[in-house]
Amino acid sequence: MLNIHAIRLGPNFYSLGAFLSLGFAVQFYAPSLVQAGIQDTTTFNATVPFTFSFSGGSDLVSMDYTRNGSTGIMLGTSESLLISSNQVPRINVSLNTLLAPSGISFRGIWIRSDSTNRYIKSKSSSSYSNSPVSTILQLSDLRSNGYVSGLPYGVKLTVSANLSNSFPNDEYRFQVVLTCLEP
Amino acid sequence: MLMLQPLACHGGLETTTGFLGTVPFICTIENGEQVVETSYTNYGSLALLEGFSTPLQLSGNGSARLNLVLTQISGPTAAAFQLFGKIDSHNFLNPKSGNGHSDANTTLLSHTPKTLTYQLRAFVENAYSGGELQFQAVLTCLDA
Repeated sequence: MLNIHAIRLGPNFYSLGAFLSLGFAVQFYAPSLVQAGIQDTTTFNATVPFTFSFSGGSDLVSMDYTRNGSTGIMLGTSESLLISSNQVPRINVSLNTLLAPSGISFRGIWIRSDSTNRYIKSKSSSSYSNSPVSTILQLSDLRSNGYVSGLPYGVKLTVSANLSNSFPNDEYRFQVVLTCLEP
Repeated sequence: MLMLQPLACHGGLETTTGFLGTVPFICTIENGEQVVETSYTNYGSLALLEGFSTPLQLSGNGSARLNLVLTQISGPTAAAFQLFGKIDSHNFLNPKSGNGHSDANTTLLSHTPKTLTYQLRAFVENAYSGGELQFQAVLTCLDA
């Protein structure tokens, strides 16, 4: 260790002291034979996740009404709904009846491919029950209708319902929920 | 060790599309475009012109307000004229001079047609011999 002290007096006998201390320490680490923890390994393990998104489509579709003898038919088709994913997905489709002032003798949901202009799948019910009507678009349903991973795939949703007794200004509401499922 | 666990279905898991339908008021009138020739009966200074339409078919899906207006559209002015609108053989609408040649009524229409038949009666002066008179009946069906 080395210490240096310096004192300087000015012409007005004003004194100023400064102290400077420097220390050196020299240390040598002598190599020792293999001790614990000289090597550490961090593993980064990543898997590309299944990604899926919906875009476009319609928030609310206005349905047309056509009288057919003693019954009426409500029918509406959505705008194109785009599906994008990095694998061919499975998609659960559920038709929910939210409002039905009078009995519905038949209701159904049809899913049509934009690219092939064919119906991929449909599900209908001839029950008067307002319980949900559900189906799953399987991998094979999508593959056979031109679904390609990584490219947007357009579908249109059509809902139809037969009203056995309908009266003017009666309002009917349906909801179609598409849910992404892993392949 | 750091593990990155993939999550299923990144992004939009679910999408919802609403469908809304309102049943419109429907009213149809079939066989309404007719030209009816009238008969002529002489009553001295006056003559009676009378004509019957063939049946019109009315159908719909609810309560309908029927409005019938009778107008003379050509020829010498008739002294008196009126129209009887009969639904299923019952007088239902009767536009005449007493109500400004307009009458309205409400009826329930269903998909099973109701039959409406017109009967026109007009008294004209015989002095108009050879003159042609035309009357027009306009039926309007509104949501009641």
